[in-house]
Amino acid sequence: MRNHRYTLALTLLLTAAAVCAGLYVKLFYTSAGSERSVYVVLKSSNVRSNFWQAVSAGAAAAAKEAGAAINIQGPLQDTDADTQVRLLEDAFAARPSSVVVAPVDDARVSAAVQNIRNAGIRVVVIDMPLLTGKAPVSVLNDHREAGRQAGESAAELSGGHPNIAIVSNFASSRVSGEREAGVKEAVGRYPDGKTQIYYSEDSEDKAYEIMKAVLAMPEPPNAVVALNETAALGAARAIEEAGERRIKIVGFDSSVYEIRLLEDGVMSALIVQKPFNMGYLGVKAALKRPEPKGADRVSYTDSIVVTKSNMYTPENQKLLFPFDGDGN
Amino acid sequence: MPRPFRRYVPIFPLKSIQSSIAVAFSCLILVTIAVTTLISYRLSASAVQRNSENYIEEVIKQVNTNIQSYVDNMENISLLALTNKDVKYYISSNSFITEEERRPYEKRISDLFQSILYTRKDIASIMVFGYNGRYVSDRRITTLNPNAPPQRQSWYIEAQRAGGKSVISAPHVQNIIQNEYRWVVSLSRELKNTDGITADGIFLVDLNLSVVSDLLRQIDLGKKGYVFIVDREGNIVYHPQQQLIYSNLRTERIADVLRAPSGTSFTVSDRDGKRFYSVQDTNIGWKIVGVAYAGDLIGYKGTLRNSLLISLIGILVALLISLALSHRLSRPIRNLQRSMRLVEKGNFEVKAPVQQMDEIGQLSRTFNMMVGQIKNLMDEVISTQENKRKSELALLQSQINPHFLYNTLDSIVWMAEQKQHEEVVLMTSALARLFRASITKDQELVPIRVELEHIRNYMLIQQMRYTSQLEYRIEFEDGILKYKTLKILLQPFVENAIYHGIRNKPERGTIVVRGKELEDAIEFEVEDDGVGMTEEAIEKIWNPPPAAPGLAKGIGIGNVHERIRLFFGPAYGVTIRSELDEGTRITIKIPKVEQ
Repeated sequence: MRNHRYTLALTLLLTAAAVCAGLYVKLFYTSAGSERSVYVVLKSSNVRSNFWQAVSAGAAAAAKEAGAAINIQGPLQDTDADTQVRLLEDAFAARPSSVVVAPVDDARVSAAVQNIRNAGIRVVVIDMPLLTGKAPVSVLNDHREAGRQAGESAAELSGGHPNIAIVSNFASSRVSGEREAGVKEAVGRYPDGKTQIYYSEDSEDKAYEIMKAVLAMPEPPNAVVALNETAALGAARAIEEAGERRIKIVGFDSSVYEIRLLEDGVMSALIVQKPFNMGYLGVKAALKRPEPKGADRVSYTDSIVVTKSNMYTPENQKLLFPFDGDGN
Repeated sequence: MPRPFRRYVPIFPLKSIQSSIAVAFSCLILVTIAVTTLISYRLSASAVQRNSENYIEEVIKQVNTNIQSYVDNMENISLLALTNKDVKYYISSNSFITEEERRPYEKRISDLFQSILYTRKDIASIMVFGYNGRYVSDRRITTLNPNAPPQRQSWYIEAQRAGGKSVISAPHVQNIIQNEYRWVVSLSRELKNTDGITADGIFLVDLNLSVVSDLLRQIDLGKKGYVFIVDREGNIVYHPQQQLIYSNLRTERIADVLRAPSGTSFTVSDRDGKRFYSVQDTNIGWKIVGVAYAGDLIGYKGTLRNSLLISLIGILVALLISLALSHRLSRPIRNLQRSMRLVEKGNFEVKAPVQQMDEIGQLSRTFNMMVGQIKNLMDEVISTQENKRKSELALLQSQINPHFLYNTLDSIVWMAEQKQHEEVVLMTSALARLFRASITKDQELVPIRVELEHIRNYMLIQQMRYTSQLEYRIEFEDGILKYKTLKILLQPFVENAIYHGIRNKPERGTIVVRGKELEDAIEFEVEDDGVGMTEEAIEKIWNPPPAAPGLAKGIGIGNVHERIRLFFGPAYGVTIRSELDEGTRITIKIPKVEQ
């Protein structure tokens, strides 16, 4: 009889527990994930960097949409590997559910990321892949595709006979390397396509000097692709001074100076990335369940070609003039 | 054909009432709580939904009012410019302001605009463009962007088309001033000449978009909630995730919003979760939409979680109470059951406790009465039986064996013929005493002295009869004579010793009758050296075969044993030791009964 009573009590308790569990599940179904947190380590948290501010805004928007807590950090300089390693260690200590990182090109950063992954924290790499080591889930800027777009635009501007000067910053830069490869690929499709590479070492004046020298050549190129902002500004200055409007410039990124050059018609096209989307997709990927093995772990954000005629469309305004109150 | 017997099937096929009660209660409580919780959950969920819809509606109305007030403010500024004489003269196509006079006009207008701008932090810039090619702004020196002539801007064209009515633009980058790219909302208006018909120019006020976006961002619609604005055509005026929508990474329910009339709300439930859309029209043609997620409205989760916790505690408490109650209710029944089981085992001293005068109390009382009655009846039966037996035995005891009487009288006659007068006298007097002892009926218990006398007389008679065969000794301790014994206790044993032990023996036999005091009892022994008995014979003594009716039988040893036990209790009685051809010893044990 005593046994009987225990079985009975147990049955009742189980029933009650089942009822409550059911209600709890129903109750928390909508709010599941409120405990999740994302730690974002960017290349730069400088408020003057429109690009990284937009990444940050996109990341915050994704976190808000998912109802997750977010912490966005980054060194002031986008080459400061020491600080980024330290921030990654902070992230590791905070034990978030996922980490999003835009890695600086440094092996120590790769090691720190690997360390976080080993602890079972989901890591998503954005912007550029890790310098070394296995690739976790990535949302990357497709710099090669951007380069192709630039090459294509320059080729069209040159009337289908591209003879293109590429002004890069450093031979060792991976970003510039990718873009350069993209430009060459696009130009290579034209039978008489030619390219020539120059390195401005991230100096506007050096780019200016280079471009002056190029213009003094007996047979100057008919288009210039400047792979970053300083190169574009320097090259544009040289061309503007020379009054050589025949030579078209295609630049990257979207500073106010570049925009003005675009308005003035000195700059013919700008290849603009979508940093907001990258931050958004990065955090969104970080908050997703781990994908099955063999699934596509790398996705790319696209870039668009902005010219004087389409720069004030609603879509492009948003990209070119990152309104600082935007998004979040 | 007989109908099959329908068996009664209990609702709760359990073995104890307690379990049944507990189950019944628990089921009742569980069902009640579950139903109540479900109903309250439903009620509170719908109440929360209603409340949050009202709340969002209120908030969006507030947003509308605020935006409206910004627009009204811009409108007022435009009216100010409209009515300002300086502005009118300055842009008038038929005024005769010379180049020299132009500067003071410009300065006055610029000062006016500047003073307005000082009081309003939300205004980015104020400008006037005359159709006569003149323009003035809130700045001293205004350099226009050569690549963006005002005549080509949409706000300029729209204002011309509206013909005097003010026009509000969507948020855009204002690029007409060189090196300035600001996100603004523009209000533009065509200025009329004093005649009210001819148009003289375009007036422009720019509102900082950050004012609007700050306003929208500060609105708390839960963790994930947000506000966005669309215009009449469904173009997005403002959305916190505008870039994502342009990139098709996100979609917004614009068609639903356009369909919804102002001041209403609708609910959307898709894979992004359940959310409420509240739509409010402004009179500048924008639709302000508030979106709140059902999951993170304040108080929604907490309240429900609390109520659930309370009902969980309720269920636990109810289960405990139901167990305790069923225990409490069934306890008297279990007590009664325990008492009954004791009675079943033969204990009639049991009394079931009567705690309350409810049904079970009454049952217990009735049970107690019944047990009492049974006990009385049992006692009565036992005592009746005992008395009957006692009197039967006493009757047997008091009877003198007629054979004995006959033989004795025969012996007396024989002795009288032999002229043995002394022996005749002795034997006759002994017989007389024997008789007297057996007919005194007044007492059951007699002093041992009297019993001793009786056995002497009897032995005397027997010895005289069997002179050649029988010898006897009587050895009684003096100390025991004062105690009492049952009347005529020893005579049957002596009789048996003579008739069954000695008489069948060829030689002389001796009978010894002893009486001695033990520590807490008195022991008599009747010992003979006769033929003895086999085991079967002894067994026959204890369980005699039923005697043939009518055949008078002597007092059996079994009967005496029974009489002793009836009188003194089961600790006393008769034991027999016998060896074939050696003799028999009977031991009789009785308690010490004082005078």
